[in-house]
Amino acid sequence: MPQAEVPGASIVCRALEAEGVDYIFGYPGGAIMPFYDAIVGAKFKHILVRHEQGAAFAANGYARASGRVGVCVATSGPGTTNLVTGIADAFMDSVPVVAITGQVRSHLIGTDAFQEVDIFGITLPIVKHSFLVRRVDDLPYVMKEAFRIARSGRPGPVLVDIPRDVQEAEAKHLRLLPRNLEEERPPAPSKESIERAVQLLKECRKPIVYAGGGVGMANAVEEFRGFIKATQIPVVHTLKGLGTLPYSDPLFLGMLGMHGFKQSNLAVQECDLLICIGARFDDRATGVLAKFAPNAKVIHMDVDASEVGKLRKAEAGVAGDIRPALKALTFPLPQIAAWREECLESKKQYAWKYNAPGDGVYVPAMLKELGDRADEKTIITCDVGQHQMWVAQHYGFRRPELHLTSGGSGAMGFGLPAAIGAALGRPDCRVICVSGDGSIMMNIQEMATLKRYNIPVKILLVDNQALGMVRQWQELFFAKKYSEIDLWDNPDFVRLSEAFGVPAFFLRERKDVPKAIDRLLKEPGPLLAHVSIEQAANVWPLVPPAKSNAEMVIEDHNK
Amino acid sequence: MSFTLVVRLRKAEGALVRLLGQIGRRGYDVLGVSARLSPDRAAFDVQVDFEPFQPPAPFACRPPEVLPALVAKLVEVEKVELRSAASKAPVEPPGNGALGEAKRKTGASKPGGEMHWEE
Repeated sequence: MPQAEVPGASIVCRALEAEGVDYIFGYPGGAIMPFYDAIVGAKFKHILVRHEQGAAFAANGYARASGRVGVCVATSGPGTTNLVTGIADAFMDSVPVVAITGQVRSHLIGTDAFQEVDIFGITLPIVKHSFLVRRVDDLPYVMKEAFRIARSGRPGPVLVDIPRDVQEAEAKHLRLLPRNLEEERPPAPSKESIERAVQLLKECRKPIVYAGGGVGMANAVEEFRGFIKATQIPVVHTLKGLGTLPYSDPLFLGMLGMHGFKQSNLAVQECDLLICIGARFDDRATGVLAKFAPNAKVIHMDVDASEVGKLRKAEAGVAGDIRPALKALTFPLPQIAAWREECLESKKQYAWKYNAPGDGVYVPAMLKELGDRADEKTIITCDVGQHQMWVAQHYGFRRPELHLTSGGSGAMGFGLPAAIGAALGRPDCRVICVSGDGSIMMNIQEMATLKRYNIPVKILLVDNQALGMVRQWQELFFAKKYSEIDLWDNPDFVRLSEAFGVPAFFLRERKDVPKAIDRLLKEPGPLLAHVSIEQAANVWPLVPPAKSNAEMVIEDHNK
Repeated sequence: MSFTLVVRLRKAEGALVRLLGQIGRRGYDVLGVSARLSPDRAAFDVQVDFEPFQPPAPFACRPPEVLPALVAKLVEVEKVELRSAASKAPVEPPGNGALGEAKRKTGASKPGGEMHWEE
C-alpha cells in the first residue's frame, strides 16, 4: 500500500491537535500561508487578533488562566517581531507558550529577503528554547519537544520558526510522538537540602514565608496552604504570588515590596528566617537588596536551581519539585507564637482605612468592593501602572490563577488580549480586565476581537488622563517637573468602545460605583466601564528609590 | 578571579550562541572560548573562561557558583562543570549540594513513538 505524503504545515496542525490545543491566536501572512491553509477544518479554533502582540498576550493569558500551553502564530518579519514583547513577557513570568512563526524559504535565509527577520536570533535571550526547522521530517519531534519544554520544570516560551518550503514539503514515515507526562515531573529536592531546611525551621523564632508565582505554577497551592496551616508562619506574597494564601486568611500579611503594605515589609525586615518559595528576590520585591531581611537566614525553594543563590545566599537551597519539599516541612512550630501575634497586631495597626475624602471614585475602595462581591470564578487581568498596583493591594485574591498581571516585564497593553485568552481558556469564569487610559490604547484594536467572537470580557478602565505611575514619580522624585505624561486628549472611550460594537458606560461619582459593579458582574457579553478619576491620585505605600523596604512612605489619611 | 566553565553541548541550531549569551548576558564577562566538534559531529566540547562582571559599588558580583545551574538549563547542554582557573579544581555549587542534580536530561529521544498517524 502506498504511503501518504504529509505536508509540513499539516504535521504542525496535527501535532497541535494531538496536544489537545483548543484555541490558537494568530495573524496570517505570506510565510505562514501553508499553515493557514492546513488549519481549515482543524479540531482547534483560530482566533484572529488585530495585531500579533495581541496574539502573544492572548496565548499568555490563556496559559496563565487554564494551566495549559498557549499557542500564538505569526508570519515572518514584522509579524514575528510584533510577537517579541509577548514572548519576553512569557519568559519573565515563566508562562508556557509555543510561538509558531513562518520564515522565508530556506534558500533565502540570510539574503535579506522580503519579510526576512532572524527571529530565532532576536528571541534567543527571551525564550526557554527555540527551533529553526530545517527538515520537514523533524517537525513531529520538534512540535512534541516544544510543548514538553514549554510546560516542564520552570515553564516558559518556546519558538518554532518554520521556513515556508518546510511547511510545503511532504514527508513520509511520520509518527506523532506520544506525550509522556512522567518525564515532565521536576526532580525531587535532595534529602540533605530538606534536612537543612527542617533544621532551620526548628531553630527559628521569627520566620516569614515569602511566596511567589512559582507555587501556583507548580500546582502546589494545596501543599502550600497545608504547610502554612501546620506551621502558622505569617505570609507575604509577591505580585505574582497573590492568592496563593487567600487574602482573607489571617496569616496573610499582604504584598511585599515597592507598593507592599507596611506590615508585610516590616515583618520581612525583622524576621530571622525568610522562607522564599517560588520567588526570585526581584528588585521590586526587595528594594535595596543589601538591606532586605538583614537579620534573616534563608531557605530558598524553587524548581529552577539557577534561582537559588542568584541574588541572595541561601543557608538552605532546596532546588526541585516544591511539593514534596513543602510536605517535608509541614509540622507545628510552637516556638513562633509570640512572633505571629506581633505580626497579626501589626496587620491590624496598619490595615487600609479606605477613608479618602471627596465624592469622586476612590479606586482602592472600588476594587475592594469588586473583590468582595466577585465570586471565586472571577479572573482579573491587569495592565501596567497605578491601577495594577491598586488591584494587587485591594482586590483580595483567593487563588493565584485568578490574577493575571504582567509582573516581570511590566508590559502595558497586556490586559485586554490576556483577558481574551483567559476567557477562552476558562469559559467557566467571568473575566474582568482592569486597565488604565495609557495601557488600554496600546492594544485597543483587540476590542474588535472581543466583538467579532462576542467574548464576554468586562473592561474596567481607570482614566486619570495621564501616564499615572510616571506622573507620580515625577511628582515625588523629579521635583514635579512633569514630562510627557499628560493624556488630556484621550478619545471618548465610551464612544470608541461603541464604535467597536462593545457597549459602554461612564462614571465619575463614588456613589455610582455599586451600580457599575452590578453591571460588570451581571451583564452578558463584553462591556466597558469608563471610570474617570483625579489625575493627582497616587499609589501608596511607596518605597522610594535606593531605600530599604523599611523606609516606605504612606499617605496621610492611612497613617 | 577568573573561572573556567567546561560544557558538553549537543550540536543544534544556535547552540553555541545561546550558550555564550547565557553567560555574557547574565552578569559574567567572557574572557575566552574554545570549542571543538566531537568526531561524530553530534556535540561540542566547549571551554569558556570568564569572570563575574564587576558592577559599580556598592553592588556585588554575581556568584560564579550559580553559573553552572544557569547554563544547565539550556536544552542542548549535556554536562557542565565549573573550575577555578587557578587551581583547575571543580568548584562546588551553593546550597548544600542542592544544586548538584540541577541538570536532568528529559529530552525525548528522536522519533520512534507509538502513535502512528500516517503510514
